[in-house]
Order: sequence, then structure tokens, then C-alpha cells
Amino acid sequence: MRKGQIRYDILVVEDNPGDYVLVEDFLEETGIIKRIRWAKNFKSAAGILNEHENQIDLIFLDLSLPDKSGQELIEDILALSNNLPIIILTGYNGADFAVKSLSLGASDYLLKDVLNPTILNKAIIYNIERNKTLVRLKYSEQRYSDLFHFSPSPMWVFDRKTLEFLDVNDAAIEQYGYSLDEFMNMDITEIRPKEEIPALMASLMVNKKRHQNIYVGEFIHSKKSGEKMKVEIRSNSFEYKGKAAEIILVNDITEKNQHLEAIEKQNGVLKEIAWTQSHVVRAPLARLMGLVNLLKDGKIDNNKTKEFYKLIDNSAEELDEIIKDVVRKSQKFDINNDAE
Amino acid sequence: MKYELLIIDDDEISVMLTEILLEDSAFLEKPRTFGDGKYALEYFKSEYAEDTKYVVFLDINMPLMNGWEFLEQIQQFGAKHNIYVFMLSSSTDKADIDNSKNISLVKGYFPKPLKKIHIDEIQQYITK
Repeated sequence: MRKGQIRYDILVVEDNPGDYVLVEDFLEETGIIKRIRWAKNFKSAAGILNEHENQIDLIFLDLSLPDKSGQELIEDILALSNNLPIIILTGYNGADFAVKSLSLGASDYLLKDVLNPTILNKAIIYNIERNKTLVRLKYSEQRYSDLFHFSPSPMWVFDRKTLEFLDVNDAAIEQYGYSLDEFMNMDITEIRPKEEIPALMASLMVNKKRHQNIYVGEFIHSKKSGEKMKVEIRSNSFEYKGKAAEIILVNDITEKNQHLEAIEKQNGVLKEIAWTQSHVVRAPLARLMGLVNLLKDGKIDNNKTKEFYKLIDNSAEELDEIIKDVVRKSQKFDINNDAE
Repeated sequence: MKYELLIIDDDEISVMLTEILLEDSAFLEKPRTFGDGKYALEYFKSEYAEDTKYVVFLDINMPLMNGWEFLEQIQQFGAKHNIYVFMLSSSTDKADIDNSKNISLVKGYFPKPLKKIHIDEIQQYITK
């Protein structure tokens, strides 16, 4: 045993006391054991795992226990053990099933008849270390999968040949109203109104030519409810589970467009107001200013001033009427309310 | 060179004010006035002379043919070198001012009311 060697906490699930003692002896001889826990049946194993799962490094599992055995036992232990490596202990007669257990999620299997400390030492270290890598990989895959599934924008992957959906994220399910099962039995033409299909096909052609390039375009999609929405699509080609696929990111711009329309409409109204102010309101005002300027500069004969005051009065009246009219109209038509 | 002064405006008081100011400035001839772009265009079509310099005060907002339509017609009419148009409108809208800058016949834009300094500007322009 080397100095500084890491030591492990091992759970042995074995109902046969003779087999257990054998395993225990060999384990102790490996020199890498910190602690051995023994469970004689599934119930006891479940109790230990519930309490000490985060201390245990590896499980040795006999496949026939009095209260549970075979596939069910493996599955239940896996469910309780949170990614711990599990090594199946089996006799010659169980060797075939031990191989199958690997596909169920066990890390390894050992034949009880040929156990020795060297084999155990290697098996423990190898399975614990390999398991660390596998768990990391699993988390990494999970992270990427989460990025897709929990993205706040609708996303999906479709098959370039058949146009069938291969995967759809939660936001797409939420936004389009189809369940995951429904999506998985549909192709991408089914979320579009008929008249949009030619544009879709054209975009697929463009994409094929450019190959592996991000494509952006605006399309109309329809929800399960029949409601239509304007969307901006970003897509990229990649290989998904061996198929030429396309990943799609959807941005619903229905609201954005409605907003733009509302803003444009408001702009129109504002321009109209500016025009009215300039041409209608300012006309009598300009007249007033002109009349006053002439009077002020003494350009008007005394016998004509009375007539000028009358004109000033008329222009003021006209201006007053126009302003009253503007106020009345603006109260009837509130821009802000109209934009909602 | 013979000068002719035209006021095209449907606002009678505005026309009167312009006339008083022009008279006070001893500016050219007595102006001809037209209550709409349409009538002014008809006058040009029948009376236009190559050897006359036309100084035109042009309003924008008029009932039958507005100032812009009048300018478009005049440009098609082919007479250019001897027509000097000065916009005289109550509008201070930037869109109107920008619009006038794009028309070569238009030599100036005066927001109403017309002032003495505007007339000085015109005099400088046509005697240049």
C-alpha cells in the first residue's frame, strides 16, 4: 500500500454470510478500504443508501437477495444510489445475466469464484475513476440538453430529409400549444399556414446551398389553436443522432410588429398635428402678427385703423375657434389609448 | 428687363398685408394677385413672356391647386430662368421648408407674416 493512497467506503449487498466474509477478507487485503458496510437484503441496503449515500464510493451487489432480485433489484439500487458505481457479484450460473446487467446501468461484474485482492483492487479503482468521468459527461450532456429544453425561446430540431420534428423544447410546446408527443408525430410544414409552404421550401433550398450557415428569415407560423404569429427564425445545420438536421430558434415578433405599427401610426398622427398647427392654426396668427406689425410701424392711415382693429378681432376669433376645435378633436382621439 | 410681381394666395387679408408692405417699400410694379394656384397657372399659360422676370409670392395651402402642385405644373411648362418663386406660407413645418429647398425655382421661404427684411432679401436677389 502506497502512502497517501485514497481509501474507499464500500457497501456490500450480499445475503450469503460465507460469500460476504470472503469478499470482506479480500477487500481488507486490497489496502484501499476505509470502511465496509454490509447489507444482507434489499431493505437493509436501501436503508444504508438513504442515510449514507453521499459517503459511499462503490457498491458490490449480489443479484439474488431474499427480498428482491434480478433486473428489479438493479433498477431499484440504481435509483437509490445516485450515480454510484455498482459492481455485480455473481456465480458462474449467473454470468449471463451479469452481462445483461451492464446494459441496465451496472458498472462492472465479477465472478465470485475467481475473486482475489488484486482483482478487487483494480476493479474498485477502475470503476470509481471511470464512473467519475461518466458522471461528468452525463452532467455535461444534461447541461447542454437543459440549455435547449429550458431555453426561454422556442427551439426545435428537425430532420432535413423528412422534415419531421426530432426534438422540441418546453418553450415551443408552451407557445405552439402542441404536446411533445404531438410534435414528435408532426413535420415542420404542419405549423405553417398552407400559403407559407412555398416560402418554407425556398428557405430550405437556400440553406442547403450555403451549408452549415446560420439562416435568418421571417415567416408566419400557426399555433394549434389556429392563431397565426409572425416569427423571426434563426437556424443552423448540424448532425443529430446520425441525421442531417437543422436546429431552429424562434423569436415571436408579432408583438414587436404590432408595436412598430402603433408607433408608425402615432408618427402619422403627430405629423398630421404638425401640419395642422402650421397651416391651419398659424394662418390667422400670421395674419394677426402682420396686421399688428403694420399698425405698430405707423403704416396705416388714421381713418383706416378702425378697419384694422376689426380685422385683428376677426383673426383672433378665428384662431380661438380653431384652437377650441383642436382641443375637442384631441380629446376624442387619445393617441396613447389608440396605441394599446 | 420688364418685371412682373405675382401674389398667389387665397387669404385676402394676407394678400392685403403683402401689398401694403410692397407699396411701402416702393417695390416694383403693382402686383397681380391670384386667389389660387390654378388661376395663376392659367395666367402663365396665356401671358408668359420670355423677356419678363416674374417674382412670385406663393402660398402653399390653397383650395384648388396648392403651391406644390403649381410649382410642378410650372416646371413642366418649361419656363425656369426668369421665374423667381418665394414661398410665403403660414407654415413653419420643417417638411415644407425642406420640400422647398428641393425645387430649383424656389429662391426663398418666408413664414408669414411678410416682413421688410424679406423684401430686402428679394430685392438683393433679383438685382444681383
